[in-house]
Amino acid sequence: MSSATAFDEIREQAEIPSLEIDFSPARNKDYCELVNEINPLHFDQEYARALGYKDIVVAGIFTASLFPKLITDWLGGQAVIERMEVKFGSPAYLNDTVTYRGRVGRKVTEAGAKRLECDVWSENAAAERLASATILLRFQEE
Amino acid sequence: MAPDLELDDLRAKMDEAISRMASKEILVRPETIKDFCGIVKETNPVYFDLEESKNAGFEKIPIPESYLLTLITPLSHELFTTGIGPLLGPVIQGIIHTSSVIEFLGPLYCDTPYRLELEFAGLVRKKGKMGEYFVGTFPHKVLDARGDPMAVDRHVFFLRTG
Repeated sequence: MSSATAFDEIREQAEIPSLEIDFSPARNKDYCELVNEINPLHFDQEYARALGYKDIVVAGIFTASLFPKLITDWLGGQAVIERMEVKFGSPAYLNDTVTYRGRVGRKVTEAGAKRLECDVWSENAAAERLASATILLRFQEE
Repeated sequence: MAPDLELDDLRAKMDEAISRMASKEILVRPETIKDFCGIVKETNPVYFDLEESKNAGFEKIPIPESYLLTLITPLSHELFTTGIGPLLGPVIQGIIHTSSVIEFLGPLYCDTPYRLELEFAGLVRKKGKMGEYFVGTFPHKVLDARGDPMAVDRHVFFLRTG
């Protein structure tokens, strides 16, 4: 976490440090147990294949959980997330290693409030984009 | 439900089914957040060490923003089991969460009671390469003890019919 990254130092179009996570069977099982998952698409390979998927699909709510983390890993407690709009494209499958990336969009200072809009996305090992999100965050008062 | 059920009828039935769903009281335990942090490789101690949380200015252990989609999961589960599940069961072959618009309206804390509420905001029928499908929008709300919204997630589901 780079806690020294202050609003004024951030440049539009700057890259956000990426993060990577492997959706291993153990990690997916732990998550399914945590949420008492009921959709067999997320834990039953036969069911997933019958629906036309190549393997178990990692739940979107699980994969999207890493978008806020991408931001908080970068900025720590300096900013709070106000809004996140996430769109799911291709699924993340069991055993995929997914990289989360992002880029700073607009910086806005309005009525004393400092806000950043960031475009973030996830991609698999083949660099195929899986999901994308726009995150609006507000820097805390100093 | 017959496959040719009129869209307006389906909307009305969904609206009625969702209005019958009880809101859910939830209380997130620090142990749950600690487990979640382990799963998503969250290492910031403010999420699992009360002293660190207080040093960072929080009154209790905060619930990370990354947990919000997980927090509202019980609503989605109920929606498709006892909620609208029985209405859709005969024709819906798959349910896919296609997008979410989430507003974070205030900090959420462990060991603090919240209420989850579900709304129905619309259903449209579409046709695509894979045939006919429905797109439904379901706002999931997290309310504090006073009934003030602390977070809202407008979940959009793709309901595949064949």
